[in-house]
Amino acid sequence: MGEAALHKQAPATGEAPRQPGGRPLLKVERLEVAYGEVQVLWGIDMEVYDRQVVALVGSNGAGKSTTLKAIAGALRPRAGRIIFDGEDVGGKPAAEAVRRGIVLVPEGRQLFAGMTVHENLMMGAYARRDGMRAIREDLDWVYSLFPELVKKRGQLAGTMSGGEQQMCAIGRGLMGRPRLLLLDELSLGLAPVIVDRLVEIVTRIHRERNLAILLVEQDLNVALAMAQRGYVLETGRLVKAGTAEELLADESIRTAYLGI
Amino acid sequence: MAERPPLLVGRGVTRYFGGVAAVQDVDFEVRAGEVLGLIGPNGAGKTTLMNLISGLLPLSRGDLVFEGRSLKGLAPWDIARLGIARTFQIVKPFAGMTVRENVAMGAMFAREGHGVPARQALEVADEVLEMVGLADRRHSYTDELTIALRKRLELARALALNPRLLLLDEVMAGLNLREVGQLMELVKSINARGVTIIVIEHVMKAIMGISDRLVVLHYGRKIAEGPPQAVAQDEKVITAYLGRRFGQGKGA
Amino acid sequence: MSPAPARRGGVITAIALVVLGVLAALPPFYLSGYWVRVLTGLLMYGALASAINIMVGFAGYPALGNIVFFGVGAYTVAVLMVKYNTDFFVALVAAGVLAALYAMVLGAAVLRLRGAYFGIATIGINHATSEIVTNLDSLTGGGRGTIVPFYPGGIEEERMFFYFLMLGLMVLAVATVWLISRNRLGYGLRALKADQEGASVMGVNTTRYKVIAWTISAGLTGLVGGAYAYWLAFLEPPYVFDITMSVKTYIMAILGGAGTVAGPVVGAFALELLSELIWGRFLEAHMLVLGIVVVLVVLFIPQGFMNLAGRLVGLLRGRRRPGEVGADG
Repeated sequence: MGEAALHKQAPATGEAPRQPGGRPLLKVERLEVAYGEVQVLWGIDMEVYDRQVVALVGSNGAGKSTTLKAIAGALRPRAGRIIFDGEDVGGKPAAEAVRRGIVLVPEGRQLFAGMTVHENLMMGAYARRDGMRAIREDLDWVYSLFPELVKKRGQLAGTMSGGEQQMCAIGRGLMGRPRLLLLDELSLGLAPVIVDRLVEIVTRIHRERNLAILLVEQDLNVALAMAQRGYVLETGRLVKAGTAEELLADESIRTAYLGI
Repeated sequence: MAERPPLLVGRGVTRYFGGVAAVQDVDFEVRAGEVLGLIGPNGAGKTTLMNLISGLLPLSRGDLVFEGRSLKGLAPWDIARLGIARTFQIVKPFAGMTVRENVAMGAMFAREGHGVPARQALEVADEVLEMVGLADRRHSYTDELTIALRKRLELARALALNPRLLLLDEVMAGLNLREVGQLMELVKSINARGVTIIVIEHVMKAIMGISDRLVVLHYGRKIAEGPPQAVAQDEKVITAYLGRRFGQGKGA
Repeated sequence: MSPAPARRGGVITAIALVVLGVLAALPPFYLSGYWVRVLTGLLMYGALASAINIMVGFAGYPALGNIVFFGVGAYTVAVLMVKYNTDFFVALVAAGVLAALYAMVLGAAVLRLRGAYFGIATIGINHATSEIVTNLDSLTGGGRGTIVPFYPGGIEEERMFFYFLMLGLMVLAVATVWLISRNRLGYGLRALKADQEGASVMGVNTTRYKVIAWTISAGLTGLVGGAYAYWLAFLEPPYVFDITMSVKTYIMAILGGAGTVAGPVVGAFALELLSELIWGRFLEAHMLVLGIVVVLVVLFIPQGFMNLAGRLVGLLRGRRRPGEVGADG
C-alpha cells in the first residue's frame, strides 16, 4: 500500500509536520484489543505525527472507538504496542496516559452532569502539575474558543444541549493541555449546523496549539474536512490509508463501509 | 423469484424512550423462507426493533403481525411459543448448565405442539448439537467454550425451539475471518431448512453475503429496502453511513 | 450415555437409599433423649434448607426472610388446635396450605424485585407478619405466647413421634426438590436464575414459574413450622419468626450446594452439628466462631460441599476436570 510514503507526505494545509528525527508522536503497532473474549481489533498499524490531524473512519462496529480507548489507556491491548513519544504506553492505566499528554474526549461526551460547565473544565486540569497560572491561561483560551460556554459557565453540564455539551467536553479535554487529543465521534447526534461549527473549532485548535489530533468519525465527510490523513477500518482491520483528498476521491471506500 | 407470503408484518412500528423515538413509523415485512438483513448506522434502532419483535419491549404505537396473529401485548415467552426465537448480542448461555442442558431448554419450551418433556428434550438437544457441530462438547459447561463456540450454542438454543422465525442479533461480533465464514455457512444451512431469518450485523460483508433483502434504518426510520446491491448504491444509505455530500451524485 | 451404566447407577442409588433409610430409622431406638432431640433438630433444618433451596438454588432469589412461612405454619397449627380443637394432622395440612397461599398472594408483587431488594423485602415481610401475629393477640396469644396442646403420650413415644415426623417432612422436602430438578419447572427455574431475559425469550413463563417456586417452598416451610409448633408446645412470635434462623437455613443451602438436591441437607447437618459442638465450648463467642467458619467456607468452597465432593469424585475417576478445553475449543 506504500504506507510508509503516505505517512510522511506533507499535509494539505501546507504546514510541514514537526518531526524530531522523523519519528511519529504516536505509533501503533499490530494492535489487538478484545472485550473479554470478543476480539474487536485484529492488528492495527497507525502513525500520527506531531501537529497532524488524522482521522480514523469506518462503519459502526469497525473498532474505531476501541482504538482510541486503547490509546487513551482505558482498555488493555491483548497484543501489539502503543508507542507515544518513544515510550510504550500500551496497557498502562489511563491516568498515566493523561500525565503524558494523551487526552480522550469520549463518545457521548460523558460530562460530569451534576457539575457546572466551569467545574467540568477545571476537572480537565485535574492531573496537571504546572500551576494555577498556566491553568488559568488555558481556561481563558478555551472560553475564547467557545463563547457560548462563557454565559453558561455556572450551568449544570447535564442540562445543556448536545452541541453545548460537546463543546464543554472538548474544552475539558483541552484543559488537560494534551499533546495528542483524541476525539471520539464528535458529530454523533448533532445537527449539521452545529457539526460545521465544531469542524471550525477543531481546525482552529489545530492552528493555534501545538498538538496532534486523532479523531474518530463515522461521517466520512466531516472527518476528512478536519483531517490531513485518514485510516479506514473495517471490522477491526485497516483496509485503507491515505491523505484526505485521496480518500475522498476513492470510490471503493463505500465497499469498506457497506461490504459490497 | 416468486413473491413469498409475508411471515411477519410490521405496520407503523414505533417505540419511544422518554421523548425520543428509538424506532419511528417503520413498515416492513419479512417473507417466509427469506433472510432479511437489518442494517443501519449506530443508534438506528435495529436492536430496539428486535426487542419489540421478541416481546422484551412493548410497542408504543403500531403493530406487529406474525402469521396473521398480532404480537401486541404478548409476553416474551408467548412469542417464543408462537415460533419466534432470538439470539443476543452479548451471548448469555445459561451458566451452571451444560451445553446439552442449555439446548434442551429450547426443546422443552418450544413452539406449541413441539415442546417435549425434560427427558426427551435432552435427546432432541443432541440432534440440534449435531446440526451445529457442537456434539462433542455437549457435556461441557458454558464457561469452558470459546466465544465462537458460544455463538454456536446460542444458535443451537434458538434452533431447539423449532422456530419459524429466527432473529440473529450481531451473531458474528468478535469472530475472526475464518469463524465468520463458518458461521455464515451455518446460518445459510439453517435457512435452507426453511427457517426464516432476520439478521442484524455490523460485519457488512457477512450480512451482504447472506441476505436476500435488506431493510435500512437510520435514526429510527426506515430509509431504504431492497436487495443488497440496490441498497448499497442507494444515495440515502450511502449518506447515512458515509456522511453528507458523500452520497450526493453517487449511484441510484 | 449407554443404558447399562445408567441402570447400574440407578441400582446403586436405590441400595444407598435403602441403607440410608434403615440407618435413619434406628436412632430413636438406640440413642439417648438428648441426641434424639438434636437429630430431630437436624432433620428439621434439613427440611428447611431444602425448601429454601428451591428459591435460592433454583430460582436464584435470596429469600432471606423465608422463615415467615415457618411462623405462619406454626401459628396456624397453634390457633387451629387451641381455638378450634382441630386434630394435629389436619392442622398440619392447613399450615402448609396457608403458608403456600400466603406466598402465592405476595409473590406476584414481591417477585418483581430482584436480588438484594427481594431479600430485604422478604425480611420486611417476616417482620411485618410477626407484628401482625403479635397484634392479633386474642387469636394468637400475642406477645404473651400461646400454649399448644401436648402430644398425648409418654416421653419415649413423643420423642419418636417427632423424630419420624421431622424425618418424614425432610424426606418430603428432598423428594420435592428432586422431582422439580428433573422436570420442566426445575430447568425453567435454573434458566431464569442464570438469565431472566434469556429464559423468557426461550419460552419460560418466568412470572408463573417464580410464583410456583415460592408457593412450593413456602408450603414445605409451613409444614415444618406446623410440626415445630406441636413439638415445642409453646409459641411466641420471636421464636418462629426468627430472622437468625432464616439466615441460617439460607447459609445452609448455599454451604451444602445451592441447586443440588442433597446439598442443603448436608449443609444443614454440617452447620447444625458444628453449632452444637461450638455451643458447648464457646458459649460467648458462639456466633463469632460460626460467622468465621461461614466466611472461610464461602471463600474457599463457594460452590458448596456437594460441588467439592463432586470434583473429588471426578478426580478419583480420572474424568476431565472443568477448565480443560478440547483441541478446537
